[in-house]
Amino acid sequence: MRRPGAVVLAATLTAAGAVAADDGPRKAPERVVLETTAGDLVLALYPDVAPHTVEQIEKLVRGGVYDGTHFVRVEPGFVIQLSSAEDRATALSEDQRKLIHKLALEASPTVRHRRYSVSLAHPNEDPNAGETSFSVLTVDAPHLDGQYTVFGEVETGKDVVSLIEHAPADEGKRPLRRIEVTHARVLEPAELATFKPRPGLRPAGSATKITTDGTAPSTAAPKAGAGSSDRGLAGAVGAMTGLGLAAAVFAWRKGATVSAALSLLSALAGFLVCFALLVPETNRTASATAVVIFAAALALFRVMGRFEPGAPKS
Amino acid sequence: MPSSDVPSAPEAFAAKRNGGLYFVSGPVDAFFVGGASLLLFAVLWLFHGGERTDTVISTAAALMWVVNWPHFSATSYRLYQGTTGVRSYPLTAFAVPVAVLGLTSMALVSPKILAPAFVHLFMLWSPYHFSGQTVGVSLLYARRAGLPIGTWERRALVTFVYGTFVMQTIRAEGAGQKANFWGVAYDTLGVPEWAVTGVTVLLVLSGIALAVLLTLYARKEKRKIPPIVLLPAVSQYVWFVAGPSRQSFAEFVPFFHSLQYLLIAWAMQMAETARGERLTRSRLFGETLGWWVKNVAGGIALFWATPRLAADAAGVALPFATGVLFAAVQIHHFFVDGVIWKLKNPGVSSPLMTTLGNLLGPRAAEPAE
Repeated sequence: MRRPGAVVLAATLTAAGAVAADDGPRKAPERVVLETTAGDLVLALYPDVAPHTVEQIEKLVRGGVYDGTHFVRVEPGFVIQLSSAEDRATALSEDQRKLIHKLALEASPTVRHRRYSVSLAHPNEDPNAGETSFSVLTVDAPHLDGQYTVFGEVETGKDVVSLIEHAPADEGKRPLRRIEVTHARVLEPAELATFKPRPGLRPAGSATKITTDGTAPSTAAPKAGAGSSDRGLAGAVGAMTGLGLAAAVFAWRKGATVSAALSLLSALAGFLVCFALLVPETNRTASATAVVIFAAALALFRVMGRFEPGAPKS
Repeated sequence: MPSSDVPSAPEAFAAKRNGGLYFVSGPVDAFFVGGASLLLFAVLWLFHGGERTDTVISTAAALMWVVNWPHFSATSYRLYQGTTGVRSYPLTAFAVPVAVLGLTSMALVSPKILAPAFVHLFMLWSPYHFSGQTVGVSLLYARRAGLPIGTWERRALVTFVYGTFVMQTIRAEGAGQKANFWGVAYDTLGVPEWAVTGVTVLLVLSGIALAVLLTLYARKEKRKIPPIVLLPAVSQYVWFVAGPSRQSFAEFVPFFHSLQYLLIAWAMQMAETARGERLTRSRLFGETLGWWVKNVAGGIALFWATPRLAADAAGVALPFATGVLFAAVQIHHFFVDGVIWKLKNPGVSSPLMTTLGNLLGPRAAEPAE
């Protein structure tokens, strides 16, 4: 069932895409969605202000270049910054690498660095060498006007920005825990009506109280059910049982303690399957079940050390 | 990796010092079993901002080829190098690879469900394995020092060491998060904050208990606790509690674990090679070099070649295959390591009482002038 909030949001997104805002630059009809480990960020881009940058960023998003990038800088009261694509979790493919090129500064005299502006990063010594890294301002920053290309704004996900901004970080302003863009995509105008962004997901262990813009951070995240691959799982369990049996027969011929070993291998396979099914559920909300699963994993690891007593070497 | 599964007080108390306290010497042993990590931590603390810079990444990557990967290979080499290991542990030698291969295959064909669970399981098992080694190395040095490790001292040590990893791990397993290993994204467990608080309290209490128990023992017996006995536990604390705040340091933690392992595995290998005979320095050097080269080659085969073979065979992207195969090789390592390094097995503990002095030919035997 669609939630009322989602309907309102979809309507807002649709309206925003169709009609130019009165008090800001025209927004492109499509949106860029950054699905991050802290929630979804929806960016509206300014094609009239920074045409080359917007075209290039959309091309990079469509090419999957931003998948696996992460936030490398979190400065509360100033900015959050996304890493360069070269610093993402997996190496860029040759095709993706070819998509990247340097972008010249597209500074606008009228579009300022405001709170939630999206601004292209570049090396200090060369304003015409921006490539993939960009920042989201969390305050108005007029001292950056004219120096960096503002090419869009965060339209939805301001609570996510706040969460990222206040994530625990080291002295170099790098988040202690990786906050990753798991997937970035271009949301076409036709998709706006049905799109439901994930709200901010506050990580456990973060002691910082988060201030959000209206929406309180939720710990709930919509997840796809695991039921679609039940057949695959059944196959996996069956195959593991067969492998365990084969291994057991072989070891039996060697005169080893087969029954214990077989039980342990079965337990490992069974645990993996349970783990695969349960974790997506426990991940939604912090609960004691997660503690139980963790404790069970530790117990399993401990028992695995008893897998085989071994004959003392001569 | 010497397992923490060692005899408690009476048997350990009876185990007298067979040789010296150190495998090689105080500084060398200290460097390998944790001192190097403390040194680096201090240097980074004083002179580095803690960022995971390109230099940090490339240095850690280079060390991976010559230390981290060979440490995994050393376990397989130890098990399969001759018939003795295979005969002693037939199930581990034959059934475990089949089981791991089966799980790996399932993970490769189930990228959305089983692969994330497989990688996640590995991510939990890995620091557990680090902790087991830390406890094992501590107890090994205690045994070499002739220190009786009573039930309560052992419990305090185990709780403290495992507490460091549990605290760090569950902190990273909060709700609504996704983690990523080589592009294989998985959901974190969703551990509540009260669990982190509970483990932190337990960690502090066990640390205090360990310090008190050892102090009482030292006073009663009027002897000092050799620092090397506690060095692995202190290093573990830095790896998992003090260190993660500096990403530049965290990048090297697997390297330090591998370094620790290689010292012990090398000592075992050389002791078994010598078989009670004396080795000349050149023979020792040659055996060491040969063992290391074989393990470097083995490491490359395990971590460079197998992902490529799996990617081709399964028709999956190389990064995905790399994530799954890296997890598979390491799970196999955890499994095998947990079995073959039992200190209560005399076949394991006896060679681990050796020293460099025991191995080398006596200088006195050289012709006198």
